[in-house]
This record gives sequence, C-alpha cells and structure tokens, in this order.
Amino acid sequence: MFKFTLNQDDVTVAGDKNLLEYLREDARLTSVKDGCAEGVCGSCSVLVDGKAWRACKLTIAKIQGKQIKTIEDLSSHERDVYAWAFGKVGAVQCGFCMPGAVMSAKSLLDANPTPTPAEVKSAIRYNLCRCTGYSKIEQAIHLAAEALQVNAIPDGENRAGKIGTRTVRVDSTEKLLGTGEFVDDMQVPGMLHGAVLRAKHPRALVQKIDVSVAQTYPGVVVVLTAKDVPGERLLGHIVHDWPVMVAEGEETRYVGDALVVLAAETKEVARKALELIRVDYEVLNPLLSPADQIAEIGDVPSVGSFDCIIDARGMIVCPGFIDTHSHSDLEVMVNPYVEAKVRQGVTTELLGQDGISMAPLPKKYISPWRKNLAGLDDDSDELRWDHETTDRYLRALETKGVGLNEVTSFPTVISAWRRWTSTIASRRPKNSRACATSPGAKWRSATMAFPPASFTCPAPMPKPLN
Amino acid sequence: MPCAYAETSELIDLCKVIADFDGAFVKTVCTDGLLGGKPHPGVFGSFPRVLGKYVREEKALTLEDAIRKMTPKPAEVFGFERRGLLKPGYFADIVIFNPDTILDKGTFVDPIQFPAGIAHVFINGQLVLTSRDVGRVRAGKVLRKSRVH
Repeated sequence: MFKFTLNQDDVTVAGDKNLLEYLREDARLTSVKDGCAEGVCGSCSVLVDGKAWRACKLTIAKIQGKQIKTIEDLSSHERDVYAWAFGKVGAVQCGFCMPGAVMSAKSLLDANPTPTPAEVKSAIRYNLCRCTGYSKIEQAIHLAAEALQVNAIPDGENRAGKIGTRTVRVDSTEKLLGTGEFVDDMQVPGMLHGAVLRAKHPRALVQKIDVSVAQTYPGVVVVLTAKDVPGERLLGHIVHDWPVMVAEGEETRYVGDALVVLAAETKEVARKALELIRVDYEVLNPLLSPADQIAEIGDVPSVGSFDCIIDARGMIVCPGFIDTHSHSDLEVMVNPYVEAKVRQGVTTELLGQDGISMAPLPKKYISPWRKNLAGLDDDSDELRWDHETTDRYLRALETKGVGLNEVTSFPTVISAWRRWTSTIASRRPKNSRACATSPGAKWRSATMAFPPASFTCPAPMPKPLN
Repeated sequence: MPCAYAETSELIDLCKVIADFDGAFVKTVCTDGLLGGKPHPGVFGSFPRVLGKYVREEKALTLEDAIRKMTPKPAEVFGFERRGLLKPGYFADIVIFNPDTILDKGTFVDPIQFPAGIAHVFINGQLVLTSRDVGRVRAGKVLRKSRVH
C-alpha cells in the first residue's frame, strides 16, 4: 500500500508501478504525455513537492507521502496566464511537449517569480521541443512571469485569424493545458494496442523476418510486414525513398526504421509479442554523412610518394567524359592530340559515326569516298587512305599513337542518307563481309538524316557486332 | 539527340529533354561536329556547355545526372570495361573541373575557342592537360572489340 497526494486528493495504491503509467492509465491524467518513457524528453514532467520531475523516472513507491501535481491542478488564473503567454509568442505548435514545459515553468516561477534568462533556460533544460526551438518557450515563460507578478493578463489578443494579422494558434490552449487529445490519449471500448518492431542497427541488411511465433501468441490479432502494405510502400516529402516498413533484402537507414507492426488485445501482449519476432541482420557500417559515400577510395600513400599534388578543393573530380558521337576519324591521323576534345574533358571518343568512317574502304573506292569525306570530315594531303580494313586503320592509329582513347564503329547508312549516298553506297561491303573486313570495330553505327552538326531524335542505338 | 545549342525559344523544351535521363532522348552527351573549316561550336564545347549552361545556369538537370550521362552511362552502353567510374582497378581517365566557372566559349561566329573551367585531364593515368597547357602526350589507347584493353 502506497499513499500520496495527487492534485490535492489523497490516493492509496495497492502495488508499486511506474508513475507515468499510473497517471495515464489509472488516474487518466493524459496531460502527462508519454514521449519516450525513458527520461529523455521531459513531456511527462510533473511537480513532486513543488519540484519538476519526469514521471517516467519515478515509481509509486518513491513518491510515498509526497505531493504530486499535474497541470490539471493549476488555478484558473494560472491556466489563463500560461495559455495567454505561450499562445501569444507562438510557442505551441504540435503541442505535445507543452504541458511538461508548463510544469517546469511553474516549478521555476513558484519559487522564483522574476527569473533571469539563464534561470529560465536552466528550468526547461529537460524539456525537449522539436517544433519551435526554445526561444519562444523562453519568451513565454518571461511573459508569464510578468503577468503573474501584476496578477493581470493584457487583453486585446487577436484570435480573429485574419490574413496579414498576428493571431494565436486555434488549438494552442487545448494543447498547452493537456485537454486536447493525441491518439495515445484516446480510449475506446474494445480497442486494440499497436506496437512496432524497430531496427536495432543504423545500417543492416535485413535478411529474414520470422513472425511465426508472434502470430500465434495468445492475444495477438494481426502481425504486418512490408509484404502486407498495399500500393505505394515508399514515402518521402520529395524523393520517395523511405519505406513504411523495411522489407527482407533491404537495408535499414537508422535505428528506429520500422520492420514489423502488430496489434494485440493489450499493451502488455503487444510488447511481449514484439520480443518473439526474430530478425536476421547482416550488420553493416552505418553511413553517417554524405562524405561516407565516397570514403572507399583506398589507402592514400604518404604525401612524399606523389609526382605532383593537385589542390582540388571546390572542384569536381570525375571520370573522363566519353564523346559518343565524334567525327575525328581523319583528324586523329594528322593530329592525335585532338585538343578540341581534351580541352572539354573528353578522354574517349567514338569514331565512325553517321555511317562515315575511314575504314573499311576497298582501294577502288578511295577516290570517290575521299571526295565525299573532304566536305565532311576534312581532308589532308598528309592522310593515307589505303588501310582497306578497320583493323589496319586502327593499327595505323596505334603506330602513330593516340592522345585520347579512340574507338570506332562499323558504319552503315540507312534511311534518307542511303538515297543521298546511293552512288557511293555500293562501294561498301555487305554486312556479313564487313564484319570480317572490320575486326576491331566495336559497333555498327547507323544514321537517319543527320545534316552535319545538327541532331535528330531519337538517335538509333548502335548494335554490337556479333 | 537534340542540339545543345538551341535558340532561346526552344530552350525550355531543350532543358526538359536534356534532363530526361531515362527517356528516349539524351542518354549521353556528344559533340557530333566536324573539326575542319569553320566548325560547329559544339565540337569545342558541348560538354562544358551542358555543365555550365544546363546544370549551373538553367538547372535543367543535376550535376550528378549530367556526369552520369557523360561517362558511366556511355561506358555501360558501349561496354568500355573499367572506364566511366573512379574506382580502384579502373583506368585513370579523370577530369577535374571547376563547377562555378565551367562554360563553353565558342560562338557560331567564332567557334574555335576552348572552354573555361577545365583544370586537369588525365588519360590512362597520364596528365595530359592542366589549366596552363596541353601536354603532348599520346596517352590514349585504341579500344577494340574482343581484345583485352
């Protein structure tokens, strides 16, 4: 048997239990919020003999003979003062932490009616607020202190909510005084209690989730995993990449990612059932910052072992660009450095585009093809035209040396250009023979009515040669 | 593939087309132009133009998407082994550029102008370009089908 005073009533409780649980479940004082139940958030702050305490850290046995006060015990005037002050400065947003913050404020102001800013900060140091930050709460406490001093509330508060005017949030007072109900504050006859199994590791591969034992546990009504989510399972404000529940085969991203949701007849059964779920994890190193994503470059040797050191601060370091459609076929034979491309960051270029290339080219077609190309890819007396095959063309490039990585495709001409080039098309070998005469060509290129230096779309994709 | 040198009236559509990574249009970037005579400015500036004009100025696509189109995507499509990514065991084809200044400079009137903002280029591990000069290094390789590169 434990005896104490709760909001001026003498109370006798038969067995020991957690004070937060007693206040919410038995005394039904739901202004005392259950935010974390482990002494971190301060949302369950109550007064114990005038001092603010987190109820979740206390038991009935520990408050034997003491005086417990919740926000319900505030005088009508005190309620008006706190509701006015917190509402006026906009301290109340989601409002979940507010009754706890008010109890911390009351504890301070009852003992110290004219606190300094440092004292106000200190009084709410155990009250976490994730909406407003703390400056508005501090302003509210100073305002409340002044109003309690003069025992009057300035009137003329705007609650009309007209556009362009400052106004008090409509649900500010209910949230502040704990009369507004959050879901966890509601009780419906016959209702079920939910519980969520959350990831134990900030980053782990979820290999298997076994809910079979939990499913058959007496009192459990339903057990749900990612497989049971109909429709869109990924959430997110901008990028939808956050799973409602992490599925088998996926990775967790933080401690607290949901894996399983279940419903049971009582809270105790729901909690017990969670313990019966087996999850096989492969624990991975967590990614704690964007830089972690690029941390696997390898060991950097000591500074002295480098030929030169490049300061790339503020720069982008990326793989060399690949010019997928280039007409340097002739240029590389004369000037292998192709400065026009290197200066852009191109390190690899694909030749033989638009059905135009230096090879394959049987000798009897050199003259007409050279005249044709002279107008397109340029011409030069320095060029040799007698490669005949792609292989020999590429060997000529290798012998001279190339500045960039050079790749060629076997050119074919289709569509409109076939007509345009009909007079010269006959000099091209048939495809099957072409493959034999152009070893080294990586693809067949094709074209559709490409006037030089302009584009059409969609571009035909190259097909690999067999 | 659309021309990156569109007239202003076509610019908005062009931005959409360039940003359309998985669509039928711009999967990769290229120059498609002839070097001789008076070339198209794209021959000298297509890549910096995408990074300067379409990524930085028009914000038509992200830098990451642009680079993906410029190197890992074509390497994957055309099967260039060990190119297109910065990874141990890959060929050191590397570009270092300044995202704040990169831009093509050529115009249709005066197309032969090198772009701004490219600081260093490595080809197969050899430094071939610094902000000051282009090294006369034949660092390239001819990439062939069915040969180990």
